Amino acid sequence: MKPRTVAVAAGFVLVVAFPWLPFVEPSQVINANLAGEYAIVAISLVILTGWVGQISLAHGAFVGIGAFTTGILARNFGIPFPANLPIVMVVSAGVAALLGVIALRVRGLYLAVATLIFAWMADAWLFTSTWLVGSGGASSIQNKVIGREAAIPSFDFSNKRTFYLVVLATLIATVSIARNLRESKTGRAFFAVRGSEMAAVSLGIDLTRYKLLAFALSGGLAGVAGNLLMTDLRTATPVAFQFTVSLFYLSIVVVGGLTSVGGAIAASVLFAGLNEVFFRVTALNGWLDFVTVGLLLLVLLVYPGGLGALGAAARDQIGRLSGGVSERVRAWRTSRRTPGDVGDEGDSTQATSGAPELAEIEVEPLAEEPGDGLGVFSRFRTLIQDRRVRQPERRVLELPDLETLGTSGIPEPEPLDWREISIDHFKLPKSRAAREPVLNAEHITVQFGGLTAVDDVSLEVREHEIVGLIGPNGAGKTTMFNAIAGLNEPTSGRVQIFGTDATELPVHRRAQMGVGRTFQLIQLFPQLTVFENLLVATHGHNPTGVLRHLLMTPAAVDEERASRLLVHKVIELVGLEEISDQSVTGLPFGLLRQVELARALVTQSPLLMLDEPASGLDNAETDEFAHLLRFLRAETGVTILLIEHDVRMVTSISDYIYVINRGQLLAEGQPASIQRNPTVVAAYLGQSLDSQPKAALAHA
Amino acid sequence: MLSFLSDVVVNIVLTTPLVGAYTMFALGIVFIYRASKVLNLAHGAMAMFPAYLFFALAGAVGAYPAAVLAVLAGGALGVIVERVVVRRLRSVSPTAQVVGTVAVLGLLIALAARVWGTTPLSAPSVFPEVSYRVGDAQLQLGSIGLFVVSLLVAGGFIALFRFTDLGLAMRASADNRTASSLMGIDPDRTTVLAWLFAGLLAALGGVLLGASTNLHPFILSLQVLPAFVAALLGGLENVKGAVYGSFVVGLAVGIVPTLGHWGERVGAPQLALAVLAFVIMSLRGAKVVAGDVRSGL
Repeated sequence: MKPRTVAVAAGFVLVVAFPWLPFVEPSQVINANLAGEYAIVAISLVILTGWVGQISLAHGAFVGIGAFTTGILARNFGIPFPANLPIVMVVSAGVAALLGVIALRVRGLYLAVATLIFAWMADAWLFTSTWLVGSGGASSIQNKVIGREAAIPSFDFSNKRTFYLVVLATLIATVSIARNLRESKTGRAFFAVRGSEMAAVSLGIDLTRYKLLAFALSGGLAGVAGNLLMTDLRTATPVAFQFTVSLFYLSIVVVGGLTSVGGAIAASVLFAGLNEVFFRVTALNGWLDFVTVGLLLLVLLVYPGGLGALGAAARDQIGRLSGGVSERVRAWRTSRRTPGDVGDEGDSTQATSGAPELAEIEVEPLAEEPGDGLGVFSRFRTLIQDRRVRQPERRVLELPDLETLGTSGIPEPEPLDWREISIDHFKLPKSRAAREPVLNAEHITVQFGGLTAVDDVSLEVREHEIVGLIGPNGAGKTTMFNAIAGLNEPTSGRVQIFGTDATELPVHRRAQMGVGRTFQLIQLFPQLTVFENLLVATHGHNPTGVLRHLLMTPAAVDEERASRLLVHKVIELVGLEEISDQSVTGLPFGLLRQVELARALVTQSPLLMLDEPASGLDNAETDEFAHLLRFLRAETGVTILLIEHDVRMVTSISDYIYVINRGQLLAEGQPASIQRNPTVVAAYLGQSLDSQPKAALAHA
Repeated sequence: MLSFLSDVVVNIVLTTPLVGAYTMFALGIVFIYRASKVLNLAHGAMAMFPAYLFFALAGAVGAYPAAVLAVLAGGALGVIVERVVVRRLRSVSPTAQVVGTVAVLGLLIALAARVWGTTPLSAPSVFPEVSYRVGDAQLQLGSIGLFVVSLLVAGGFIALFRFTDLGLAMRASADNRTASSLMGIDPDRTTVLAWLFAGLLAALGGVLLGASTNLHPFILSLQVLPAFVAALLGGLENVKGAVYGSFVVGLAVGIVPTLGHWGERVGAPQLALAVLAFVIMSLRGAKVVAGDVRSGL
């Protein structure tokens, strides 16, 4: 056996045997139980705040709801400990999901205040209600219903040492659930929501679903901790769950590093240890809260990565000293997790736990919608409509076998770089009528208040085409684009995608039909590697649900393997092998554009919508990107709609061009005819038709 | 019916000190949000702590000097929070800033609880101890004083923002830090000023509220939460809106307990306000995606 395995096994035995060790005193067992209970709450907060980016200042209240529900179940219904656990979990998950509904509407700072108000309401109303807490302001359960005469006769839950094992087992289950989640489709969707909600919906991720899921999951785990606390202490008073307790839990998580499960456990043990120390040393009496919060402030100001980052740094240091042992361990863990995988994606927990994590959560200030006074009823109606409309069939783009690239089916000796592959073999059918329509936007009008941004514009994109939508600044291009993608609701007009009416569908459901997109301001997930960014885009292919992810069932593992293979294929196709393990932060802009395009490709959407892909690129990079688009079209038959400022690029690659100006369609046609069209030239250059810029347009 | 109405009126009159305190807190919250784009969750502690200082100093130096000292200390506290926590964490992330203010809140509550304990204390009055009969209840002069002072202060700040260069500079740097610094305004200076004003206001509200009710580390700190609701009601960046919001919230707190059996329950006003806040947030909140998009056109 390897020395590391022995050390881990010995450590585990020590942890399990802790309450029976000769020098351990009863108060230490009590605090060890507390540490476990803290850790479960902390992990629930790591999932919600660290992973999904939703701040909660109400976790103390969720724990309290779990504890008091346990009391009611035991007292009034005679349901003893292990049996009441699932009920408590469901109840607190439900309450948390209700609060999550608020998170659908507000974000960041506002959500923090919403949870704060919830905690305040819970203090003032919920935890003073006799129906919940019981008369006399305290909930208690008798030993009998949790003890040896009840559910499991040979197991005495009122024994602290026995209960230590229960807490430990629950904690281990919680940790494994969190780890499974982290490596699954659901976990990636969580990270995507935190990284960029915009990009998440464009990849088919349902924000409503995943935000509510995160709240329910987190609240459910907090409820479990409350259940354990109640069963452990056998009595609970509202003081134990008041607002400052929520701050205490947040302190644990921040000190632990916010996104790190290991850090959360370490911080829980640390805080429970402080409990013990402050209990023993009388001089320190009464300073525990102060020291706790002081520690929080210290970590925040001095080392925002917290214990999680400290641990990661220490691991790296040890790895360097011991000649890369940890590197080998890491490789082994990777290969074991996804057997048969192409296996070069690196250990994702390692990749993301090193940096100061707090820095990576962006909280956007609330943006108000212009001219939006519709109120809650119309919103509610939209929500219902969204759910009622049936999801149209999904279209999938076939990706080519890498061996046959560039040759229309004749195998090459080895896969080539797309930069060197000629795309001359691709011929688009001459007549436009011979191509199937993919996208029809009919008579789209978009008004903001009294302002008409897009006025009765129709456009059509047909199979395998590259269609350009151009126009001067402020012409309404982006509004039109957003109306097609589902970000703006058109005032009138219809959007048909693959022959199906999609006007009523929200963004993520249009994405699920097979519409991929990229953004003018690149929307990659900053805390993920290139590989992981692409992996998020497999969301729509993976039919497994969250329960399978929590348990990592064989079906979930199979899907995970398939997803990784797909991503690897796209990485080879686009030629991103060398950067696949790098974090996207710090990559050159031209590469980021390619990564974002690759991510859209992973969705295997037959229609790609590109928002100003050449903006921010120099001429050489633009040419390279244009060649990549032509190459992908030639190899996969993907259909592309792009809006662009760079007239040179659009006219060089498009098969058909629409020009809009001041919200109206100015011209449409083949690139050559557009370049000659005097109204187009006038719109771009003002009224004067002479001189240099016109020449530039003509030469392009 | 008539007795119900008179109950309502009495309750409204009795909540005037709360309206005054909420106004001062909500104004501070708005100042800080405009200057730093941070919701200052430490605001409650910035009200509570000076209230305790007033309590501690009043015995030694008398009520009026103690009140002045405590309010000044509150201003200093605001500046310290901005300098030490909020500004340093600006480069980290807005989340870190929020957590930072939470930490300050916890720190001050813990300190107050350690020094003065968690049993409610009653502070000496700032205004003379005269009370008036309103229906079956007594209204202290201190409560009226609190309300009047808050109105004067609110009016003063609205005038300051509207009519002075300083107000213009503060509004400009709140709107666009970079642009206003190019215009020769030092945004750090206006930010500190905003926190100073907010700290003074919070302390004034805390001292007066503490003097007309009780001192308690949590309860006094959490009295700021209705002010958050008030600021939200007013639109969070709007000084006048914060004042109107405080009236609405104060009236809600006054009226709810008269609404029959349900309203008399402990915590019913808090429940009502929480529901109100959630409804406002749901209506005001940006549609999830649209906030991220360039607004088109």
